[in-house]
Amino acid sequence: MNNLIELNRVWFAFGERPVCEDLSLSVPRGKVSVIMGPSGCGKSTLLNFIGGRLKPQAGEVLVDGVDVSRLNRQGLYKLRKSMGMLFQNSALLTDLSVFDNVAFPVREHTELDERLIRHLTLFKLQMVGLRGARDLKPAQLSGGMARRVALARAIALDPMLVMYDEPFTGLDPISKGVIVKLIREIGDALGMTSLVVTHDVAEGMSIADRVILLGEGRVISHGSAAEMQASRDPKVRQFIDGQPDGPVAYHYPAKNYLADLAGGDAA
Amino acid sequence: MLGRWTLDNVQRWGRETIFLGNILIGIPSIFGRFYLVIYQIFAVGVLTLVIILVSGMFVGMVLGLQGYNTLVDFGAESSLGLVVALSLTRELGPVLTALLFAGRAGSALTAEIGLMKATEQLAAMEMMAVDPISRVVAPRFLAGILSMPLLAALFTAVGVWGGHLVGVVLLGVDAGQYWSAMQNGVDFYEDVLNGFVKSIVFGFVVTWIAVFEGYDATPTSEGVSRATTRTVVNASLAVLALDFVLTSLMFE
Repeated sequence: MNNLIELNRVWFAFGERPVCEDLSLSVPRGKVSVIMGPSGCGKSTLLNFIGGRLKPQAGEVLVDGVDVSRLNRQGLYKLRKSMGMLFQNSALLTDLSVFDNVAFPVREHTELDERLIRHLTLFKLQMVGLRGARDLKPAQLSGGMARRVALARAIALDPMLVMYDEPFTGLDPISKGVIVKLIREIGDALGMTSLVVTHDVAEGMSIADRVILLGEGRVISHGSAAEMQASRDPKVRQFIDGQPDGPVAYHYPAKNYLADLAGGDAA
Repeated sequence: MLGRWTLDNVQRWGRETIFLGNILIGIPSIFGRFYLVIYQIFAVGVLTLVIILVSGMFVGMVLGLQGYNTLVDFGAESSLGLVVALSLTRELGPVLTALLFAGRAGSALTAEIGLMKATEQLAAMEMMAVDPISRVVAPRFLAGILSMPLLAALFTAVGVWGGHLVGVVLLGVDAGQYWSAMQNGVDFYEDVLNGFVKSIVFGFVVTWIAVFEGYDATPTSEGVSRATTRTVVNASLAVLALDFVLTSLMFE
């Protein structure tokens, strides 16, 4: 099996609003895959399917050959031990220090003695360059540092898959650069499969082995970063070049402008 | 309107009951890590001590003053100790402690859990395969149930002492009469134990409401604020209503 994750014909809607319509995609093992697309096109929902926090209304979500949506609670928790997730707002446990945050999953899931936990934790903190910040509380960290700590925590149990939800959003250029470097290094050095969800084209392109472009609940296009850059598909071009209007309309669907002005809401 | 309100509330009670079931399932797993509960007993119980002790003192002093003024007209001020002790062990100790507990500890529990939800800390735990109900909620729930009876007992003890301060030291009731009336009139099973049962029930209900409201809160700042308000209001009403039910069952 070359694909760690496969989505087959997934349908999902929040109430009346469809998010995924017949969505199929695959994520190769051991590579960095980047899912890009405009906001609100179901990128984060996708991560929730893979993590088993949402169930699709139809279709299957296979992770390492197992259909996540059919797992019971125990099976799901077992699978999640081999997944790490980086949340957009880092989601560090605010009452624990940086060290204890990174050690948290190890302490919860293993019976290792404290000396070994210390080694493992310091190793992960060293990877993200924050070994010196181990005694700080999350409130004392900058946004970029908090995200690096969260990253160290996500890889604490050496998972097979690390999911990144908008890892570049709201960071200064230096911190963005650090995260880009870390995602690449973690993918290469630890052999983990990385799945990045982002709308930052430049950063996304620079780390991707494979790009999947989503729009309106479907895969618009996929391929290597170079293939995407060379694409002539107007939908791909609009997103990569950041054109305000194009196949993805600038205007939210509305009735005729003149009729709207003449009519008024009271009528 | 009315139908919608009814449906919402029935759904809410359903969620609340399922939630309680999940907590109870999660409780055995924390006996192996009791330090989690100890820490919460500190946060929920020890930090509530000051308000409980000060309030207990003043309530006891007021009881001493009012009791003396009423009893002295009948020349019955020797029964002051009994009046103070009975009011406190049967009613005021458990009830006022529960109300203060809801305001001090319950609101804090709701806000803490609600904010953990709003900042995705609970979601992060779930993704790390750690069940937030057994890791976060169950220790707090157990700590609340263990703390409440202890706090109520301290409230009562300090209140009796406050009554002594006003009745005996200030107003000159004989100390021997104050204590002996209490010793003769207060029954261990009938009064002390029933008060103890009340405080356990109140602790259970207040903490249950508090952790549920936090866990069920809409994950926004407004949602957490509303949940905190609901905890204090609902818990206080539940305590007062349950007190009536328990009293009518215990003291026929």
